[in-house]
Formats: sequence, C-alpha cells, structure tokens
Amino acid sequence: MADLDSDLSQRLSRLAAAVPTGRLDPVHVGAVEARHRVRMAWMTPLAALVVIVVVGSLVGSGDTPGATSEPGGTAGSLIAADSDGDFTLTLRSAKAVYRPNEPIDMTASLTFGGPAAGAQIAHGLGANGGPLGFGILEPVAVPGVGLIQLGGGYRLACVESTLRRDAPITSPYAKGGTPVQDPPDGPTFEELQAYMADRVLRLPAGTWHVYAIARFSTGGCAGQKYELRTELTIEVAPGAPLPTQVAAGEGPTSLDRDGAFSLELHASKARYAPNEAIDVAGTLLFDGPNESIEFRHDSSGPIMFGIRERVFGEIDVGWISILMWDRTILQRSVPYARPFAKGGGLMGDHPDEAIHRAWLEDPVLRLPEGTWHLYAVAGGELLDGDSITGGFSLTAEIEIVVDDDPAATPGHPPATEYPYKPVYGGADIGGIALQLKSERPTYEVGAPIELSVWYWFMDGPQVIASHFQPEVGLSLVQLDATDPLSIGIATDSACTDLGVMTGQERHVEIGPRLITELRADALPQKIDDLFVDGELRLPVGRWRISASVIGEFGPCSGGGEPYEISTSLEIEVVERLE
Amino acid sequence: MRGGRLATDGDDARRASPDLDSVFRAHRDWLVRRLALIVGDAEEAHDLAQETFVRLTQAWPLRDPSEPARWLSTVGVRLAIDERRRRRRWGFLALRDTDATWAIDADPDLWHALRRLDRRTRAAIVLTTLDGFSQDEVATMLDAPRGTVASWISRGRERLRAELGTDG
Repeated sequence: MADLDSDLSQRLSRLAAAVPTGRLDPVHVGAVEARHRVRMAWMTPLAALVVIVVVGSLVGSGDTPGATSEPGGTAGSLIAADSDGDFTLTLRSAKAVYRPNEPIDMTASLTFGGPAAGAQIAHGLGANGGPLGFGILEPVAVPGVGLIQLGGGYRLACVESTLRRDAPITSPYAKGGTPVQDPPDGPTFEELQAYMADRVLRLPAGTWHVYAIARFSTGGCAGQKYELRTELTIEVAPGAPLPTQVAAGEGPTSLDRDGAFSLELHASKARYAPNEAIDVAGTLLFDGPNESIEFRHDSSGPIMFGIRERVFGEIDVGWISILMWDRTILQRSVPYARPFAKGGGLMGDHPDEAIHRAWLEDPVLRLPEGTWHLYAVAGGELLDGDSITGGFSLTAEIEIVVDDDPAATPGHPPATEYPYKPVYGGADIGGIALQLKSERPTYEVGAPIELSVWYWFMDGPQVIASHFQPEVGLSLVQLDATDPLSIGIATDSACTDLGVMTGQERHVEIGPRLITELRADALPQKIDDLFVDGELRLPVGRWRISASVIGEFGPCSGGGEPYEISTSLEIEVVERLE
Repeated sequence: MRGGRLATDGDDARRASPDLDSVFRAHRDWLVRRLALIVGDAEEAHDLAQETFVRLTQAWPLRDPSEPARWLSTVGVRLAIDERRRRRRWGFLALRDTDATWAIDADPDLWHALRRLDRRTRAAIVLTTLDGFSQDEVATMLDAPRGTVASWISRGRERLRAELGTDG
C-alpha cells in the first residue's frame, strides 16, 4: 500500500504540475456568464426544436426535410419546419415510407420562442379547434367516396388561445376536405362521413405531399397576421420496409405472445453512447384466422412504452392512462410498429423541471450513462361489433447499456439504481381493477412510504355497494418478523352506495383509517402512530402491503353480484440506503 | 449574478479586498490543476475555476478565511460534478475534443488510468492523496457519506493499482 501511496502521490504531483494554467487573468464575471449563456442557450425550447430538426434530418432520408424517400430506403422519421418571427411550425412524420393502408403517423406543433412567457393568438377553428390545419396536395382516392381533396380548412371564428413558451400547441394529422370526383356508382354521404370520422389517415400507394399550416394573428382578430406552412413528402409503397424504424441487427429483442398476438420490442444495438439516439421500436402482430381484427385499448395507443429506471433519477417514463378506450383494426400479418414514445410525469416544483420537460418533449430517445430496461406493453379487448369476444395482454422488455467508455467490459457500467424503480401490485377481476403502487422498493427508515392505491371500473352499473368504510382495506405484514404480534382492526361494515362511471378511477387517500391488519415484531400503541404528518412510516424490515376492496355491483338495497379484489406488493425498509 | 472583478480595480474595489485578491493569486493555479485532474480537461478546469472564484467574490468574506483551499475545493469539485451531469444530459460532451497533450506528455499511463475512474472517485483520490484532505473532509466537500467516499477511494485505488501495475 505504501508503494502505491508514494508512487501515486509523486505521479499525481507531476501530472498536476503539467496542467497549463495560462496567464493569471482577473476573474471577469461577464466572461464567465457569457460562456455560461452559450451552454445554457441549448436548453431553451427553440434550441430544443433545432436539435429535433437536425436529428430528424439525420435519421430520415438523408435529404432535406420534405424530400421523398425511396421505397426500400430508410424508414426513419422526417421533420420540416417554418418560422415567422417568434413562431415556428413543425411537421413531423414518424416515417418516410409507409405501407398501403398503414396508419400515417404525422404531427404538427406550433411553438412560441419569444422572450415573453407566452403569446395570445387569435385564430379560426382548425384541427381540434386549434390554430393548426392539414392537407395533402394530391387528391386521395377513397373507396365508395371517390377522389377527395384533403385540405386544411378553418371554420370561421375568432377564438383566442394562449401559446406558452414551454408548451407548444400540437395536433396529429386531422382530416378535412371536399370530394372532387364522384365514384362511378355515385357518392355515398355515409361513407364520406365515415371516412372523415375515422381519425386515422391511411393512403394508397404513391408519393404524397403532406402539409401543415398555422393561421393566426396576434393583438386580437384584426391584429398582426401570421401564416406558416410547412410540407413533407412521404412515400406509400407495397415494397416498403416493414413498418418499424429499427434496423435489423444484433440488438436486443424481446418477444411476447398471447394467442394470435405477438409483441416484439427491438433495439438495433445493445450499447449506445450518451449522446446517441436510441432507436427502439415495438411491433404488434396479429396472425389469427381472420383477415383483420378490431380491438379496443388504452387511449395512449395500441403499444405503450416505459423505462423501469427513473431518468435523471426523477422522471418516471411511462404513459398516462386516461381509460378512454380507443379502437384499432389490425390486418392479419401486417405488423403495427411504433417507435419508442416518451411519456411520463415530472415534479412541477423541481429545480430542473424545465430540463425534464424538454427531455420529455424531445421525440428522440437519449439516455445518460447506465443500464436501462425499456419495455413495451400492448393489450386490449377483442371486439365483434360492440361485443367483447376475448382479450390479450403482452409485455416485452429489453436491456440496453449507455456508456461512453470504449474500454468497458460487459456489465459495465453497473445497472442504474433500482431503488428508484416503482413497485406495483395489481388485480383485475373483469369490470373492476385495483392497483397498488410504491414509488420505490426500498426506503430508509424514517422516510415516508410513498404508497398510492386506486381502482377503476371498466364496465358495469352506475352504483356499487361498498362494504369497506373507507373503500379500501390495507394490510401491513412484516415478512422477516421473528416473533410477530398481530392486530386486526375492525372496519365499519355499514354498506354505502358509491356512484361510479365506466372508466372512472378512484384514488384512495392513504391514512390510518385504511389499515385493517398489522403484523410485526413490534406494534405501535395505536395505528395513528405509524403516520407522521399524515405519511406512513414503517420500522426496519421486509414488508408486504396488501390492499383489498369488497363490495357488490349494484346498490346496497339490491342483491348485486358480490366482488372481492385484492393485490399486494413487497417493500423493504433499511437502516441506511447505500 | 452580481457583477465585479476579483482583482482590485474599478467600481468594485470596496467589495474586492486585497485579501481576496491574494487568495486568488495564491490558489488560482492550484485550483485549475486540481480541477484539471478531476475533469480531465484543462480548458474546462479554467472555466470551472473562474466560476468558483466568481462565487468566492459573492461569498466573501468567508466564515473561516484561514482555509480558503477547502472552500474552493468544495465549490470547485461540486461545480465540476454538476457540470458533467448537465453536459451529459444534453450531449455536450462531444462539442469539442479535449486537448490532453500536456497529460499524455507528462504521464500517459496515469492519465489513462484516471480517465477510467468517474469524477467523484478522481476527486476523492486527488484531494486525499495530493492535498492530504481527510476522508471526512472530502465527504463534506462531495456531500456524500463518509463510508461511500471510503468505498470510492478503495475501489478507485484498486483500479489504479491494476492499471498501473503498482505493487501493493
């Protein structure tokens, strides 16, 4: 040891002495601030947009945005933008080349980049009632309808919207337009109506010039006018690459099957550099006996993505389920692919909130050094008309490593800390589902156990009879107790009618009144002692936390079908987190 | 950020005392050298040292002016680690190549071995080995538990020993 000490000290001294220190300048605050500004300028929303545009061009066709990609070429995303003053309109396509009948995934965003916190704009009613409109230069042949000229119409109106600097107005492609040539057997109004009502844009084979426009004014309806327009050329070709953005390669792949459905999550590589775009895509495939199948799914999309570890230690990347079911039709053997899409929550009062928000809004996935577990989830209920005929549930997960050390050996760097990984428990008995979540698997003693519990109703009556008061019962069991004591807490068994709606979530506030059972080496004098400032705290040990809901579908007065649903998770409380 | 020069001239003469100036002159090169070993880039070390002294002007007079080195180390090293974190988030690391000629000329083996350690470990080893700070002091500087710092140092030294082929 002495040899290393002595040798290291001498060599460090020599190395330190070799550092060029330069002239002894006085410290100028201005100079330091100027350098700082140069660095931080990248973090403004407008600069983030520049980054997106550059990346989009690179991963796209290789041509300038708007150029047509050749069939068989890359299926990368395309981005085009137009600016006027402080406003920028961006049009993005998830791919340059689509297959016939494949959903065209295009989105436009209007961004304000001025010095103020936001701008008030006046506009007509475009897509989704906002200032954006869409169109396609070439007329589209629609079976049963004829040729339609899709165009970005605005309904005459003057409404005002606030465009915040950090919150662009975004809309997926929204259809509008008029028939320009009837079909041979005459147009059918219902078919035209059905075509327009279908929010998914599908195009036949060909080269299509898709544009987005934004018309608005500042300073009121008669104020300064703005008209931004940007255009992308996409290709729809039968010979196009399968609809996935990820190149085949040696990257990790995870495949999950459920009946006639399969979900594959694939990355082109297993190892990325910290500054590198991570290309990951999920592909859902139906391979059943029918030509096509319709299913309903979470409104976040048929495929949803998440990351097990928290990004920057703060952002839970996942999706926000609002349980407004959407429907999708899958054609047999036609893969439905989506690139990894970010979503998630962040703390509004976090000092780095702006950075976190910008990271989430950047469509390109980049991650700091670490080992990351990316996953995709797909599932839904199969439909025949309005009848549910079955369902499927799929999860695929891959591991990638982000590392800038070329000398790294497998397994380096170590896995990103899992103490940040939330733990879930869930149960679904059909019609009602219950979820229990702990924000992390391990807590330091004295820290509040961040627990949430909620349940929701997919279908069913408008009223349920609840036999727990409050609605959910919680059981806390110390799994490593050596000589456990146990208490059960009686709950009010009076039946209460709860009004519910399909898709409604009920979040239950965690408190002493929920505890129905406690088993541990040491019991508190009263259950309230487990709570400090309203937050649950547990002694050192391994704990199983269970939640239960008991009730009946229907009011207390009727003989509704009884249900009982419960779920649990395990956490650990330690003396000190490593 | 409040303005002013550390050197005693102009409008900020009242704020910048001769003592502050002497601290700057006595510690500036020392701080640049320490930070260069920690961040692995002399130019970035200059920036960080500048920023550290700007903060010193704002914090002056120190509660314990007899030990400015500890204050400067604490602020400088924390800035170095935070800056690294910021740059990683946004991919700034590839903005320019690092000119490490000075290090490669002086001791290429040690330079490459140090580069394989993370910044916090490098900081802990440099500050304890070169400047004689205790592990407790370094733990305070890095805002980390003492045991954690001890583990960084231990693991870092093991890697250095393996890389440099030094007898134990």
